[in-house]
Amino acid sequence: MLTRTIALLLAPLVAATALPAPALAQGGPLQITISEGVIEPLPFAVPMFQAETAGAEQVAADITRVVAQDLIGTGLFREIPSTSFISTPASFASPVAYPDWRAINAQALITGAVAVNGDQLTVKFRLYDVFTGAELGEGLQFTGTTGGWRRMGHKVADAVYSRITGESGYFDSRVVFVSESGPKDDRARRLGIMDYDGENRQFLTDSNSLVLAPRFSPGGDRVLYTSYESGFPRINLLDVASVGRRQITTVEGEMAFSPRFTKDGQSVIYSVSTGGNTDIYRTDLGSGAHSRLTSAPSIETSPSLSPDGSRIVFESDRSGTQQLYVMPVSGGEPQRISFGEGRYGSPVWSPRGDLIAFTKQNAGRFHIGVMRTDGSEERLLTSSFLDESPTWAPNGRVLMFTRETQGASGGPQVHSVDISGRNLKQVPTGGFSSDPSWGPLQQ
Amino acid sequence: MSAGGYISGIGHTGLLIWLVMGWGFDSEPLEFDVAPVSVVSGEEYAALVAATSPQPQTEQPPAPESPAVEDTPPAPEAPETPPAEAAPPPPPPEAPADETPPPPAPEPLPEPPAEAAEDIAPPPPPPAAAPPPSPLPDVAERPVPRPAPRVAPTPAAPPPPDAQVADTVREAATPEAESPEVAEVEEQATAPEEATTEIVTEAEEPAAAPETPPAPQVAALAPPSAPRPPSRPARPEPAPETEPRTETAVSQNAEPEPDPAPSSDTSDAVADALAAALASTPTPAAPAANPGPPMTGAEQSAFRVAVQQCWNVDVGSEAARVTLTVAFDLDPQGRVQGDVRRVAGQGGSDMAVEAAFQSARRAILRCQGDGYVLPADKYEQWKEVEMTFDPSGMRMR
Amino acid sequence: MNKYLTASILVGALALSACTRPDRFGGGADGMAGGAGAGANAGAGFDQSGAIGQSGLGNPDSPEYFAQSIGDRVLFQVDQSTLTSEAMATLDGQAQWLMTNSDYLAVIEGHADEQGTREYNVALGARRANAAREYLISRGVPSSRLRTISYGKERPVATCSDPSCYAQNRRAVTVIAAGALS
Repeated sequence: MLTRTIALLLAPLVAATALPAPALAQGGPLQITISEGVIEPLPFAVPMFQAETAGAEQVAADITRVVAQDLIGTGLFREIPSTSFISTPASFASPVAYPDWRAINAQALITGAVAVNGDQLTVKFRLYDVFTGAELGEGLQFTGTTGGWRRMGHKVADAVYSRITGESGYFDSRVVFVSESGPKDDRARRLGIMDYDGENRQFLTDSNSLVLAPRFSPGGDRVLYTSYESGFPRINLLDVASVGRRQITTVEGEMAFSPRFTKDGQSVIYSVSTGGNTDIYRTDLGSGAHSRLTSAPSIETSPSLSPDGSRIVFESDRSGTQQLYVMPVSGGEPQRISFGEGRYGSPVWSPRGDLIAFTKQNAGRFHIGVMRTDGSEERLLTSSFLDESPTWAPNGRVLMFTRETQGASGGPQVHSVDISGRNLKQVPTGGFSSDPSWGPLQQ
Repeated sequence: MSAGGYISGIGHTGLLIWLVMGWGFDSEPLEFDVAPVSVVSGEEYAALVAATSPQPQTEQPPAPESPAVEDTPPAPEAPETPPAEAAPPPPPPEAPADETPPPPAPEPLPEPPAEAAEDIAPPPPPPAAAPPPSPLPDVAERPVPRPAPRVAPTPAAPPPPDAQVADTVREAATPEAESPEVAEVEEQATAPEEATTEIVTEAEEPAAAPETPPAPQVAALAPPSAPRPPSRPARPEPAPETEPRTETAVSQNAEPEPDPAPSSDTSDAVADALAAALASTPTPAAPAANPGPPMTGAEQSAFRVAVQQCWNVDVGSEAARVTLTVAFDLDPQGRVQGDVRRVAGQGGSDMAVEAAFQSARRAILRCQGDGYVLPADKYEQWKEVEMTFDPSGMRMR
Repeated sequence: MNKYLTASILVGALALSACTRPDRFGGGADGMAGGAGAGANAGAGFDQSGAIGQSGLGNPDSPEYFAQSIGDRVLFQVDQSTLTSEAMATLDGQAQWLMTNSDYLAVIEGHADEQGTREYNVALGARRANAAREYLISRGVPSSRLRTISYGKERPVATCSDPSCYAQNRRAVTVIAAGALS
């Protein structure tokens, strides 16, 4: 932090001394350094995708909207309304009239076409960089069934996002969460699954027993969660496709909870409480072999693995308050990484590997924040009465989390925020919802 | 060895990995409605995976890369090498998808989580595959009695105020600000709700900070609807422009000389510029015949400001870690001749560098309007430009 | 901090007395008939609502008497699992009852207020339940008759979002059950 501050202070000095210098040079190219830019959504235009078969108009329009909404929803793009268009492509193959798009300041242009044959849906698109007058990447075509039209739109948006930002997208992904209903002192909870944007919601369990904190498997095909179905907290493994579930045999203890998959999806890392003491264990799903990862008389829970699978970040109150620690995946001496004021919990390691998101409690407020894996450069992204349990988008760019409003009528809602702290918004889940776990990009 | 080769290599490797993983591994080949995404060709997929780095990092004008640019619709040629793409998912998903929607989840939504059948296909069926034949076992059935009470009896609390951040409101107002720190604060004005480059998120309410008034020359950021350079005729796309016909540029900026100060410019391109400047100071009027008087600081500043107001930085991206140097030539009217060439870029993955390059190039081309305003009598001084884009003062991590 | 703690203790004491009011549970149970309470908790629910007022209280060997007159719960300070002297007094009474009524078993439920992260609160509730259990064992109750469970912050009895409610929710509740523990 300090070095960063110094760097910031020095930057202008360096620039100031450097800039005039080139003026003295003769003959070489003029040297200019740009260290300031603007932060604004990139304007794009997406004329309604062409319907290439009769009757495909509606789905073409719907898919176009999904593409636009995905991009707009990132906060990084702004759609130029079609009413501003000077011209629109006559067909998917027609040449692009760049001047018409430059004139309305569209920086990116997305064109597409949709064809429906029976229940088969084909979507193709092209992306153009308007000001360079060139296509960005090549045209791409996706095929699927008509029922999956939303996913087709997400696929297109992911490709566009990726080509412009240089990062993979996250639109064609799903989120498993806890759907809540009923009064605060008798709330019913059940697992739900939805598209990242809150669409296509379905339930995975009934609400007869309490469920907590689900986690997607790396492949997105299974879910681990804590269930009170047996009367006591136990870990369940659920197959998303069949909705079949089973209880996992863990280390003996009064309670087992806080389960997470290892990176290969073959083992579970979780907490067990015995005699009031909570530690972290690992169980191989195939062989059933157990191993103990922490041995302290304090609370050790909420583990999260680094993307390379070598380390685990978790929370512990061994120092007297909830703080974050990192240890090797096989256990070993943990290193404390959180040192700010307040309490830190529910850490989650970014899929990019460079950041750890967490919940912070300080001075009566809750925050979602991120820090580097050594605990440096802590940044708080949100602040409210109660924010908790962050989960990363598959590309590590966005966080979803639970925000709960206070009072007897208060309740939780899943929200999302860009890691820059911008674009905070609620994810529509049709009711109270909590503990989101963002799955991988679907293939 | 060429950058293109690397990109291609990476892309294909990604493709192979995908093939392996996506095929044998993912036991969820597109659960419900299949949208198995079949790509048209190997390269196209590679393009997607590699996040499109079609333009090689050489100084080759990017345009020629995709010669057919706007007209040729190569997309449809599915045959090519329609790798696994289409293959894996097609058959299985179809069935369980729509037709067989046994009253699954209570949720009235379209695709039922069903598709048990499909699940059996993949070799490594998850341990939980206990009752695969009867999709939606206990759990799924039971909920039926419960209508679809997705809406909690309790009045859903209205989204918190901060939730409705209008995307559009984010008209950046970044003034010309010379110094980075100043800018940090100013961004405040840019993003109404969620703060600035530096934290100033909801988490830091008091961050109101010294808000500097937006600078005047931000005009160029005109609203989208303002047809700024409407009159400008469609400049023939610089596509055909092969090798930058600027011999000088080639010799000085081209990649061939990555040795000079490769490591140093990583840390600070400015330092390089400074070094270069100092180095050349001793022999001032030597080279050019009539270089004219040197540009003043103010003239350079004006040029810099003109470009930076079009330089859109996505501060949360990996590309915001990339310091990039590009070179381009200007005609006497201040218009970019030929293409903008990438000279150097470090600080991120190839994809990030490519994205940073595209962003820088867009800034230069977009803000030129009818030509950058530069002192005509000093054309020799600015006909060739080497511009370094350094977002380090803006990014937040 | 100290002020907060003091306030919590005071409020806690109030809440404790409030807990003996029979209508406390009535309200909750009415509104939510079929609900979705997990097994053990739901059990605790009707034990008490069924007890309201009458006969049960007259019979000192009834679970109703245990819940209402002896006091089935003890409260904790913020982020603590240390028993207060009031808590110990309550547990002394519980231990005595359990020793007398040796055919009953008990499940001790640990709970936390909403001011904490979910999984940490489950662990904290476990700690509280265990603190009560250990105390009962130290008073002679066989450990085989006591089992613990934690609901973290998921089962509040008071729903407001201020210290008075939080104090009631930071609790360990001893739920009397007949028959063998699973």
